Amino acid sequence: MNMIIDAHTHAPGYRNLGGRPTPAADFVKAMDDAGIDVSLVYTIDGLIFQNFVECNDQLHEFVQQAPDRLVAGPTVNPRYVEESSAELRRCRLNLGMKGPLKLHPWLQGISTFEAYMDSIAEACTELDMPIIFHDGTPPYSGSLQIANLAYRHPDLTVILGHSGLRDTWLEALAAVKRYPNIWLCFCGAAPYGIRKIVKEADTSRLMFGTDNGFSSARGGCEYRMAQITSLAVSDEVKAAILGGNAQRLFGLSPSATR
Amino acid sequence: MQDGNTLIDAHCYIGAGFHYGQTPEALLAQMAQLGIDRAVLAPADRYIAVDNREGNDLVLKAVARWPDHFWGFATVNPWYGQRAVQEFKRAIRAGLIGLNLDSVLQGYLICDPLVHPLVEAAIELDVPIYFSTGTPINAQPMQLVELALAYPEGRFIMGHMGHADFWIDVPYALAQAPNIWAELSYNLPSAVKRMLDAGFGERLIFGSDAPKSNLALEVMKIGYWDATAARKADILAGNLRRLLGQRPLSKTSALSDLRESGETRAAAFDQDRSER
Repeated sequence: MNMIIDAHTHAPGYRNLGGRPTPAADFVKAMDDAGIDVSLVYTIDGLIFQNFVECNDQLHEFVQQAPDRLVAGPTVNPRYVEESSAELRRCRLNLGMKGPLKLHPWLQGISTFEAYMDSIAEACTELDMPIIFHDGTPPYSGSLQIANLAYRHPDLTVILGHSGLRDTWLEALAAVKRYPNIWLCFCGAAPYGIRKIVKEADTSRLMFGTDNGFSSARGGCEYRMAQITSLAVSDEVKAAILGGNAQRLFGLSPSATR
Repeated sequence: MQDGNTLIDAHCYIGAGFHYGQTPEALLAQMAQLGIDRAVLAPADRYIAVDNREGNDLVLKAVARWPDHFWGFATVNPWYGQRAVQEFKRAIRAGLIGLNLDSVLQGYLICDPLVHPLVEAAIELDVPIYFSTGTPINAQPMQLVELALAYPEGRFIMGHMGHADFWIDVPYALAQAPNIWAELSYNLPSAVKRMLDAGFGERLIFGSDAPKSNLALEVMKIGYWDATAARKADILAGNLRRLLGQRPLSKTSALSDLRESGETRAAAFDQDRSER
């Protein structure tokens, strides 16, 4: 039985805005309802408040509530190159986070064309840590803008976390075809775009995600999964997109995630 | 006419558009006032969106009437498919020297395969394609890079050099795609300096986007460029002329060329009329 891996979720957050920590049990319940085995979980607060060390600790606490089901991917503020590099090492080597670095250019106010991004890309390459980007939202989260970072750092794996969203999936398709170190996560791309991408792209670099924890969980996970299960492709390709590819990329074993 | 003193505006519009427009006569008067020797014309908004042939004929007429002052780019909407390709070829054969596309007005992403037949035709006709850029979602510099990489034998002009939000993308775009030139309308002198410092002086082209921009102010900014006289001459005329294959500027040679192509144009118009 293949694992179903949701490659794009967020620990429910806004703690620093007076929100309450959400029990991971609720999050896992949504996964159970949709039939998802493992979720890669990223922060929300860390993308907004920039106290990334604190937010990564909170994220770690969250995934520790269900360590066999939840895998954390840290965030940093790339403008602080030294602190960010140290934090990435801490998250990977001390906290055991197996997930990618999550960056959100328009929320964080960064561009992949700024010089500090090259330093962050080098730090991630050294740790064998992919970077998953929010993409599909110009002016600073264009899929092809982000893909240029993959072009500049061919040993880095860059994941376009939304495959271009509804408007620019054509950019995501162009990127995954042109750059062998680009991966796509289907999470909000136009279904027509998803069908086209699966037809034309290397299907061993495609994943799926739900944005669980950020967008509404109820029905949302089912909807995103059905976009993949309803594709007119072989079961092998579906299984790869729904989990096999992510399992390979992040080195996840079926029983334990740590 | 020496290149060192020549000023060519690589991009402006004529015709009565919905949002803007100007007559060639009004443009000529302003050019004379500002010392602009020549302007590259494209037809205004509605001609770009829908009335392509009407717009191209308008530009052809102006170019035929004032051959010493105007060159013209054709426009066609790629959604017309093969009809667009045919109209593009007709306009080039009749005397225009490039293709003007606007993915925002015309409705597609710059890197959409929808555009490929026109790019292939431009390569066949040996003319450059001008794309207006700088507008999210569908007119971004990196989308033009993707198209330029898909067609390395094509020549592309990045209109407005990604202004306003994409200034940070532009050096990376030109570094990755050697077949892209950048047209400078709207950009501040500091943006020109940034690109000169990055080593792209041979790929910058002066253009105004008039009447959408202000022609006089676009010319005024030239005085603030931090560039050598030779480099300024490149940006004001030389780079565009090289991109266009050293198209002659001098009146005598231009006139003899144009007399000949004028006949071709007249024949093409006759043929078009009979086709209608």
